[in-house]
Amino acid sequence: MGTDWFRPISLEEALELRMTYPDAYLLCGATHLMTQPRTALSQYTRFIDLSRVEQLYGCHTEECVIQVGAAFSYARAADFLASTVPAVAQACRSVGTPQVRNKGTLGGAVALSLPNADLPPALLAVGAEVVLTSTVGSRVLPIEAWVCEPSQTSLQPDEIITALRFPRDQGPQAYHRLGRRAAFCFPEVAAAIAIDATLPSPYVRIAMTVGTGAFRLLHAEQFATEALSMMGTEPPEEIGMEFYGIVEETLAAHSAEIPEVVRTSAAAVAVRTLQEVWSDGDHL
Amino acid sequence: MGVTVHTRVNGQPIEREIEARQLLVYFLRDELGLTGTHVGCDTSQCGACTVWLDGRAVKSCTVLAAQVDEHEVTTVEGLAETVPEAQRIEGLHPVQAGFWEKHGLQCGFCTPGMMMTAAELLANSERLSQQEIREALEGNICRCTGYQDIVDAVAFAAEKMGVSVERDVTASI
Ligand SMILES: Cc1cc2nc3c(=O)[nH]c(=O)nc-3n(C[C@H](O)[C@H](O)[C@H](O)COP(=O)(O)OP(=O)(O)OC[C@H]3O[C@@H](n4cnc5c(N)ncnc54)[C@H](O)[C@@H]3O)c2cc1C
Ligand code: FES
Ligand code: FES
Repeated sequence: MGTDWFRPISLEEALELRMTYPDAYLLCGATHLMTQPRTALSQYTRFIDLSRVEQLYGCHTEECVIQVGAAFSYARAADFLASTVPAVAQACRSVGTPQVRNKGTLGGAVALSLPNADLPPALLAVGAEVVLTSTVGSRVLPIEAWVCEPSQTSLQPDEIITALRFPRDQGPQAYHRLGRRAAFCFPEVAAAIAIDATLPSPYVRIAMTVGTGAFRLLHAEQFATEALSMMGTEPPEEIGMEFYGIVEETLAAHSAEIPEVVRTSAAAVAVRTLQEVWSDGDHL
Repeated sequence: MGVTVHTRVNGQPIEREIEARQLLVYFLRDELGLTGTHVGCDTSQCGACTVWLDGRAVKSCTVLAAQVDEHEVTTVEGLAETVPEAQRIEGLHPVQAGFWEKHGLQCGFCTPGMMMTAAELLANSERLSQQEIREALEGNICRCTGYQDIVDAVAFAAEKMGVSVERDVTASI
């Protein structure tokens, strides 16, 4: 059977193709497609390759927001966001191997939002937004809606993810993951914590995944925020212990299927991440 | 219907009509006869198939040949030409010379991929630690050497290319 391979060079052309061929496989880095069983490849007879679309490489910085195109590779995003959105840069640096980071894109990662992927917890902790564009215009969704309620907000058949937006220079942030052979496995657990120090009273946002899909830990956020306001920058031992307990309880309540060993390791990763952002917060 | 691909491979312009689902690694090996690029796992694990796409290391078993249209591919056969002549050692890229000098290979199956990954690292670094060399090679598996000679080979090349390497005796892969 013949195959069509489309290489749009403008967003307008890509959107037109998406409308005309809703069954075509949309790809950018193609890292995901290529790791599916080879039989998956033969299911498609049309491919739309987004990697030439110039608008998907755009980036710009506003006073409080930094926007990067969906075709940014992990490697490029890690460099670009290192000082302004460090948790996302660290998550990008944690993905797979250098070769995957050179090819896999932010747009692909967001479109997939795999339950144990590196990026979603970091995006949630920093409060990222997804820019979706169709022939009728663009909409901006908070990542929370995208990751947590995908059934209501998923990509429409005529849409393309064009960019991600991040609040910039908010304060200390960190991302840590735990898993077997980091270069070959997705994380078993991952935690991202960002202190929003631009608010009159700094707020701590915490997101994790334990293979279940990324989610925010609101109770732990309240606890850490209060502790931060009362204790200043030194994280006393007891705060760490109490925080560990809250994270473990939250995970147990989140899903009864998370084994104890995963809960306890996840809580330890969360404590380590909190300690890092906290000690990084001397200037708060 | 086939797909037309215009690309440059090791500096040579190439135009071919290919099947859209053809993997880059088979395009290089079967269509162009560049068998220096190896296929170990075909599932993006081992790194034996690593080549450069526009100067960045990628696993060519995870890239469709159609994706390299109007891009530049470099394989191990063209590696030496990526550094100025003055840096070559008896015609070899310093990384190739390093593998020779430091016994960075036994069976040699992983070697082309190791070298392409290491050469990208060196091309983009001014200073490195042994740990950073090991991290950069985390997507390349070697079943023979135990890795230390490979790290030594890369450190040898770094020195020849003016990239300083901090000694770190405790580093382990
Ligand atoms: C060996 C290997 C190891 C990996 N390890 C990790 C890891 O440790 N952690 C981790 O988080 N991930 C890991 N990944 C997954 C990787 O992060 C994703 O494959 C990658 O982000 C997908 O990006 P892509 O551009 O290659 O997507 P593609 O493969 O091109 O596309 C993936 C999906 O996204 C859609 N898509 C792509 N771009 C857009 C867009 N702009 N708009 C709308 N839809 C779009 C496509 O239609 C497709 O459904 C690994 C992948 C590989 C191959
Ligand atoms: S053959 Fe490509 S990674 Fe093993
Ligand atoms: S030298 Fe044999 S696999 Fe590396």
